[in-house]
Amino acid sequence: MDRKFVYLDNAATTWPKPDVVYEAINECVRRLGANPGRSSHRMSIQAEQLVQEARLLLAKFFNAPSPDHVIFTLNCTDSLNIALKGLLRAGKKAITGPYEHNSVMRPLRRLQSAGVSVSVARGTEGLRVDMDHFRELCLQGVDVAVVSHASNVTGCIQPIAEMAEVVHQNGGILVLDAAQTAGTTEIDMMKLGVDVLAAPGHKGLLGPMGVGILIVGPGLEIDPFREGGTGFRSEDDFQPRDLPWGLEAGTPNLPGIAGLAAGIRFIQSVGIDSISAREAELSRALCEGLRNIHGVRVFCPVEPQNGIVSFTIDSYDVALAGAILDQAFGIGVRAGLHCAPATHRAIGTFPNGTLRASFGYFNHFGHVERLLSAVRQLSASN
Amino acid sequence: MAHEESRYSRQVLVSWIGEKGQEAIMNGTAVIIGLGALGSTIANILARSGVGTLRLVDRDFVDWTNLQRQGLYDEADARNSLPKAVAAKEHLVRINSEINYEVIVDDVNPGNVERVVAGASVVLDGLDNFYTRVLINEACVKLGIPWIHGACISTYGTLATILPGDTACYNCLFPDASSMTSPYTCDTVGVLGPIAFIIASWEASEALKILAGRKDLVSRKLMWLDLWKNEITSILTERDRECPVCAAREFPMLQQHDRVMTSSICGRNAVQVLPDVSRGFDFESTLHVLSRAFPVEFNQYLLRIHCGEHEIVLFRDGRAIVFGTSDPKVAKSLYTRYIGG
Repeated sequence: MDRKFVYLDNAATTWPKPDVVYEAINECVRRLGANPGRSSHRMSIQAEQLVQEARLLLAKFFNAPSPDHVIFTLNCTDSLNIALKGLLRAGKKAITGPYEHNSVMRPLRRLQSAGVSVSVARGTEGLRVDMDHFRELCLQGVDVAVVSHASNVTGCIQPIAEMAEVVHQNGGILVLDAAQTAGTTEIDMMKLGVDVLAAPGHKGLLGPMGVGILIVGPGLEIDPFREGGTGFRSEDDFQPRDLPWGLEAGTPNLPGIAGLAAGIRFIQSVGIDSISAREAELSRALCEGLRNIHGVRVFCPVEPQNGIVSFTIDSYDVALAGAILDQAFGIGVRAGLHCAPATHRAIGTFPNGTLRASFGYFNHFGHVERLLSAVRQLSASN
Repeated sequence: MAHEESRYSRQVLVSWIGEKGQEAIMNGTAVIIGLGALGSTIANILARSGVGTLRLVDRDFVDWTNLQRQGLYDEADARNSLPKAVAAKEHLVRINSEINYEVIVDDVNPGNVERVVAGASVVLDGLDNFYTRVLINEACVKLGIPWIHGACISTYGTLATILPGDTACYNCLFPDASSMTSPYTCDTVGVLGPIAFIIASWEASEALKILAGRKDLVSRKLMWLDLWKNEITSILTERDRECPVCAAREFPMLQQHDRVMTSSICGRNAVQVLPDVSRGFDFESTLHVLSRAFPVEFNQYLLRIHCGEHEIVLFRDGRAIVFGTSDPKVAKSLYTRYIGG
């Protein structure tokens, strides 16, 4: 058996990264070691140029209103916290979906205890948000709707454009958690009607960990919870409201931003459509194979839309099965609740969760075969 | 204060202690790491002897199988699953309320071991694994604190007193200890109650010499004793002039991450225990030892044992998942007890 480790946990973070990403980070740390936007010497200016270029690249990539509205954060969780805690306060109404990650649910539950009303739309058998229920909730009033673009458990993509329309008709704004889609599914903020976009840099966008983005739609006021140095309007005792500085206090993660920009350029050179198609094909092959193995249940849309496939093996505890896949077969998948207990409640796999295989650009059909062969052996041994 | 006179009078009468020695004992601090069979007896003796401060350190909780030999605990402690350090203090306060107690319910690891032993006049070993002894040795040698190594299993036990810079240190005696594990633990091959009481008493006696200011009287040998065979052996020990710990003062283990890492399993009442796999793991002998002690389930991928309300699933490379707890300390403790350490 080929003992080389097969990494199928790209929904947690993509690995490996394209070589250009490693090179960009290395180059940045070695040659652009100055603090961007803080000083007037040449190295600081070059560093600031790198940040500005990355903002422009991201603005175009997501069809954002302006590069100044692209905020660099720590990760997608940070972006969601900045957005939700800066938009919602006592008396406001929030609506969310049934397939949310704890990075959405935990901030919402905390806000709920501070007087924000929080409603959760139901799901359908097809793993999508029940639009009738969602519409009904919006009719009762909505300030902010926050939904994941694709579930990190099932991979199912939600009807964002349709949801945005309903939210806008009722006077609310839509915050999109693009943790599982940024970089692997095309996102056009204008076309979809997304008001605020939160995304990690280290997943589909192929950057390193430690950098995320928040894109804020025009005319939206998000109160910052983090204040400090901006290198801009320093004479003022208060945090400036102007974007991006208003939401970006402190020295940014320059090597992370450099790596993220290189990741996006790589995606553009390959084409996001071909990345999407490739990951969906791998998922389709895996789902087909898994459905033919006795005692295996698959939790995935009938037609897979990205690289995420959840499954369980009857009579195997998922944590054990995950450990055996690593131990005996050299395959890294994620086992458990994937930080999304609500989703598992919705699909009936709470509290044990599922095994989740998630593909990235560098996976191939050989990896699918390795996993299928292992699951067949596991299933036969019990 | 008339009380105090009579409380320690028999100890003061011992010629090499005297009033001066007793005063030194009462100003001293003893740190007892591990409060199982050895540690609870050591604590009992040292509390009665009037040691000024006893620092009681253990990550574990009292369970039913402890009562046979861990002399400080009773059935109520086991029923309530009290942390050993907390239960020990509660009993000790009733034995001697005139001394200070410090309780630490925690795992001893490279990140905290120096704080755990800081300020001690002497440190005593009540442990059940090699790795923590290696950490204690490095911390004590680094800070110049005398410590007493004691261990027992089955019907035999061993003892060595370590005076940093003077006697051989634990690394001089057991240079491979940091990479050793053994499936032979009190929970897999058993332990006779009396051997634990004897080794603990011996350790406490060595500690009293140090506390009373008579380091000159401590053992400079590695002692070994088997109660079933009635054999006592001693080996004269020598410092290793190239010892990385007490000669070169490099303290390698204090700078590495904890050798046994844990990771919680998202959403499950289970903890994965990840020992350092680079040192290799003898699955076959572990299986052999465990299967003699417990009913084990075994297939090509894993070995499963039930221990009370917990279940341990062990994989071939030594990694394990402990079900029935989400507390990493509990998982590590069960791993050390049943799989070895």
